[in-house]
Amino acid sequence: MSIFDAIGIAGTGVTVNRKWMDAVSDNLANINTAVRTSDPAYEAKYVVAAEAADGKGTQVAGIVTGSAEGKLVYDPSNPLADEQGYVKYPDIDMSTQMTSLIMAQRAYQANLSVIDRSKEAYQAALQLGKA
Amino acid sequence: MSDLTSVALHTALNGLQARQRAIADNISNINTKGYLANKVQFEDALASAVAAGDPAAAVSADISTKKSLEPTREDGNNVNLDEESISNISTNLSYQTVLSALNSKYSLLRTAMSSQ
Repeated sequence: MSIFDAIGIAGTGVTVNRKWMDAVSDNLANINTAVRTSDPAYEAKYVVAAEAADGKGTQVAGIVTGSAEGKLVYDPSNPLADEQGYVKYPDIDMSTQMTSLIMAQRAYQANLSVIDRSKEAYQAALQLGKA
Repeated sequence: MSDLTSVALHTALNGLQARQRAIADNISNINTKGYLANKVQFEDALASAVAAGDPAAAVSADISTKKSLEPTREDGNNVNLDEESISNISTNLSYQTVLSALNSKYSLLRTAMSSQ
């Protein structure tokens, strides 16, 4: 534990939520990524947050991936289509991703405001005893 | 400086810093499944030490961190962002108030120590 604990702890929250936003943007970027039906579809990434030991904030415990089965879409004009005219798209739900994005963004902002507030307090403490 | 005022202010600073740490921890874990918010209590213990006029009791006033017993959300987490944000602001302001009280105390001492 350092003296500027609160800033470091809120920093772990910033990191976790940024990773979460990275994962969501990766998922959304790949939402229209088609593959051949014989290949695995893009697997959505889901960040799992966990409490860090000794009250030192949070951390990414791991990434859970979605299904590689994807969903089959009939699109015979697609160069990747198989003989039956199907291609495979990832099984990503846009509204779930957007909701996650908002949650991650709000949590990111909340952590940043903790950093701001703590900084104010520490700066005041540095003035202690000055004439 | 072991007079009651200085000691009580120091304990309050420690308590408020512990609370600030707990708030940072709670907010950083707002999306952690199964996380229970930490709550820091020290005011009652400090107030009774001050009421008793006992500097030693004020030094050792209990700063306790407990897990919140409030009901949890569906994911087992019970961090309340509004409550934590408000607590963050009021903790910060209290911290600065205590600091300025300590500063006044020091300036009083400085006056007493100066030769003029």
